[in-house]
Amino acid sequence: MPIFDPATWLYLSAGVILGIVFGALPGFTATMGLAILTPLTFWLPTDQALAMLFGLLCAAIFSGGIPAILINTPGTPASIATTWDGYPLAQQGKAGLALGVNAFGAFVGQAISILVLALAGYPLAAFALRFGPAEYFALAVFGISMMVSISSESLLKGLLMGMLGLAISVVGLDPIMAYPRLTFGSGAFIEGVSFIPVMVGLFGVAEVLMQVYARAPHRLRHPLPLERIVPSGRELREMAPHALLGSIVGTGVGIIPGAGGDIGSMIAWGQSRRLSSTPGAFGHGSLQGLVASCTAANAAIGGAVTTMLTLGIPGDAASAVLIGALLIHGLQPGPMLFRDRPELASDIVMLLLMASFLTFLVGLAGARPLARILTIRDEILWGLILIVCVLGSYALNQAQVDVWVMLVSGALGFVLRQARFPMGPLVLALILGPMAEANLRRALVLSQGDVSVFLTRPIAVVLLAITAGSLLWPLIRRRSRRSTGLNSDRD
Amino acid sequence: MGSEHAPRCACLLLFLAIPLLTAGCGPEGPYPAREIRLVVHASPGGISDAVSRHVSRGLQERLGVPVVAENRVGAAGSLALSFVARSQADGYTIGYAPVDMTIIPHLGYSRVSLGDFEYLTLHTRAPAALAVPASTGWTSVDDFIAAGRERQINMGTSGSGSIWHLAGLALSRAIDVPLTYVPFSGSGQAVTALLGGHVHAVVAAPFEVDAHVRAGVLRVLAVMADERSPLLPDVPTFSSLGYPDLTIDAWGGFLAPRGLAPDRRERLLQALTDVLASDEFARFARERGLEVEVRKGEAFEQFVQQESERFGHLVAQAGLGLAGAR
Repeated sequence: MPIFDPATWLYLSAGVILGIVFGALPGFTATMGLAILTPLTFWLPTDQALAMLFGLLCAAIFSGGIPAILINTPGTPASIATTWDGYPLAQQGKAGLALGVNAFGAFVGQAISILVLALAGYPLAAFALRFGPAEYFALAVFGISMMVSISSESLLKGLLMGMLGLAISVVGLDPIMAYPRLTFGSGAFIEGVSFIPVMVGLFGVAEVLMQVYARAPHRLRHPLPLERIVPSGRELREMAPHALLGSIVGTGVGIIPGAGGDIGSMIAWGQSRRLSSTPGAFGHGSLQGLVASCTAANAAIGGAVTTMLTLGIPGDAASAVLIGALLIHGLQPGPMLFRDRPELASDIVMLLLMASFLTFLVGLAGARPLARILTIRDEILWGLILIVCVLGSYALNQAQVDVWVMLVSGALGFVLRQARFPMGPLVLALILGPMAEANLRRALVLSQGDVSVFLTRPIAVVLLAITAGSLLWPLIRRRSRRSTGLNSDRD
Repeated sequence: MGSEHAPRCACLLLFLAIPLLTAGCGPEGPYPAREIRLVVHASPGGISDAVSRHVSRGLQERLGVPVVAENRVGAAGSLALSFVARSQADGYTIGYAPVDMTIIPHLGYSRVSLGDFEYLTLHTRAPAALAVPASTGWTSVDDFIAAGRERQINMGTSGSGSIWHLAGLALSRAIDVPLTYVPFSGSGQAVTALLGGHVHAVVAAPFEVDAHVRAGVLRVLAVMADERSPLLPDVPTFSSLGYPDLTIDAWGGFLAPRGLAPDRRERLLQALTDVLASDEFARFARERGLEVEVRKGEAFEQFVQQESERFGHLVAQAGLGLAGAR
C-alpha cells in the first residue's frame, strides 16, 4: 500500500513542488515537466516514480491558476478561464480568497474525476471512443458557440475577436493536403502559430503593458494581511452546484481523447454562467465562475488519465508522456492492465488521490504567502513577469520566432484591450479552430463529401442541437416573457 | 590609504579577478571539454525525445561532460535540422536524424539539404504495421485486398506526408487497391479512430498498436519489413507474402554538421555505439518496441540517400505538399 510508505510521500512531495513551479510559470507546462522528470524516475520503484509524476501533474494544473488569479496570466492553457473571475477578485483585494477557492476547486475536481476513474473508468472511456471526426466537429462547434457567453460587454466585439482567432488558426499546413497556408514562404509558421506564446503574450505581456499604461487607477489593491482564504459557509453553498458542474464537464471533456482542461474549463465557465442565478457577476469576480473553471480544469486530469489507463490511448500530450513513463516501468496501459493487475489499478487510484490531497494542502498553506506576491513593488513585479514571459515562450520549442509571436501578441492584446475587445473568444477560437476544421474535413473525406453525416450520427446531432438550443435560448426566453407580459428587465 | 577605502579596493580587486575565472575558457583541453547538445526535432514526450534523453544520459556517462537534449520544434522538423546544419562543426552540437528528413524536402517547404550533415549512426527502426480492428473478420492481407476491391477502405494515417502516409501509398500501389487516406495529427489519434471504428485500417509502428493487439481489439495483418517484428512474432512480413519491395520503417539516427574533424567524429561515434550496444539501451528499446540497428558513417549516409530517392518518387506520384501544386 503506497499510502503507508514514507518514501512514496517524499517523492510525491518532490513532484508536487516541481509541479507548482512548472504550472505557475506561464509558458512552462505540465507536459514539459513530466517529460523532463520521466527519465529521472527510471531507477525508482514504480510506486515512487508514479507518485512523483502524478504529484507533478496534479500540482501543475492546480498551480496554473495561481498566476491566472494574481497577474491575469494563465500558467497553463487549462487555467485560461480562471483568469476571467480570478483576476477581478484579486483586483478587489480578495486574492487570498480566490487562491483558496482555486485550491479547493482543484481538489474537488481532481478527487471527483479520480473517483469516476475508479468506479466507471472503462465504460466511460469506451464510450469516448465513439467520438469520430463528425463528433469532434460537433464538439468544437459547441465550444466555439461559447464565444457568445464569454464576449462580456459587446457581442459584436467578441465575435470579431473569434473571427480573428479562427483566421490565425488556419495559418500553417493544411491538415488534409499538407499544403502550407499563409506562411509567406517561410518555414517558421509551417506548423501554425504556436498557441502558448500567443497565450503568454495576450495575457502576460498585455497585462503588464495595461498596468504600466494605466498606472495609478489600474493598480491592484493589495490584499489585507488578515484576509481570509477559506470561503464562508454561504459562499460554499452557492459554489457547490457549480463545482459539481465543473467537475462533470471537466471529467467528460477530459475523457474524450484530444480535448482537455483548456476546452473543458471554458465550456464549464460558459455553462455555469448560463445556469447561474447571477450571470451578471460572471467575469467580474464571481466565485461561482471561478470554482466552475478551476474544478473543470483539474477534473480533466482524471478524465485524461482514465482514457490513458483503460484504453492505452494518449488523450493529450501529458498523458502521452505518462504512457512512456509507465512503459519504462514495464506497465503497458490499456484494457489488459486493469484486467490482469487490478491491485495495480487500485494503487494508481490511491497515488492520484494522494497527489491531489497533498496539492490541496500545499495550495491552502501557500495561498496567503502567494497572495503577498502582489505586495512586490509594481516595477519589479512587471519586470519579473516580462522575463518569465520571454523564457516561457522560448522554452516551449526553443524557437526564436515564438518569442516574436509572444511580443507581437502582447502588443496586439494591449491595443485590443484598450479598445475593450475581450480576449476569451480569441483564445477559444485558437484552440478549437484547428479541431473544428480538421475534423470537418476528415468527416467529409470519410463520407465522400456527404454533409448529412453530421445529422445522422447521434452524438453529433445531440451536440449540435445543444449548441443551437443554447444560442437560441435567450431569444426564446425574451419572446415568452414578452408574451406573458412579465417584466423582462430583471436580469 | 584610509581604512574607509578598503571595501572599495576589495571590490576593485574582485573585479580585476574576473578574467581569472574565465581563464578556463581559453584554448580548450582535449575534446570533449564542455557541454554537448543533442538537438531534437520533436516535443518532449514523443518517442524521439525519449530516445534522445536516454542516449544523452548514456553519452554523458561515457564522455564525462554534460550532454543535454534540446527540443527545437517547428517547421515539420526542419527547424532543428537547419539549426544543426548552421552550427559550428566542433562536435558540441549533434542532432537527431528523423526519417522525416528524407521526406520533408520533397514536400517542398524546407530548404534542408541532406548534404549539410555528417552522418554518425542509425540507432533504431520501427517497421510499418498494417492494423485493422479484430472485429472486421479480415485475418490476412488477402482478405484486406478482397475487401478493398469491393468497397472504399478508409485508412487513418499519422498526417499528410508523414512516413505512415507514404507507407499507405506504397501499400496501395503494391497490392493495387485504392485507399482513401484520412490524415490525423499523429499516430495516437489515428489508432484511437481505428479503435472507435471510424476508419477501417491504420499503418503505424508495432509499438503504437501492440497493446491493443494483445488486448484482442486490433489485428496486425502484416509488417513492411524483411524480418518479423519481435513485438509481433506471429505476424508475417509483406516480403514473405510476395511483396518483396514493400519494406518501410520509421528510423532514427544521429548526425552532426558537415565538416566535423575526424578525431572528434570518432570519439562521438565510439561513445554512441557504446551506448547503443549497452544492456540498458537494449532494455529501453525493447520496452518501447523499437529495434536497435547500428549503421555507421558512410553506410548510414548511403541509406539516407536511398530512402530520400524512394520517398521522393512516392511524394511526386501522390502529388503531396507544394509538389502537388506545381
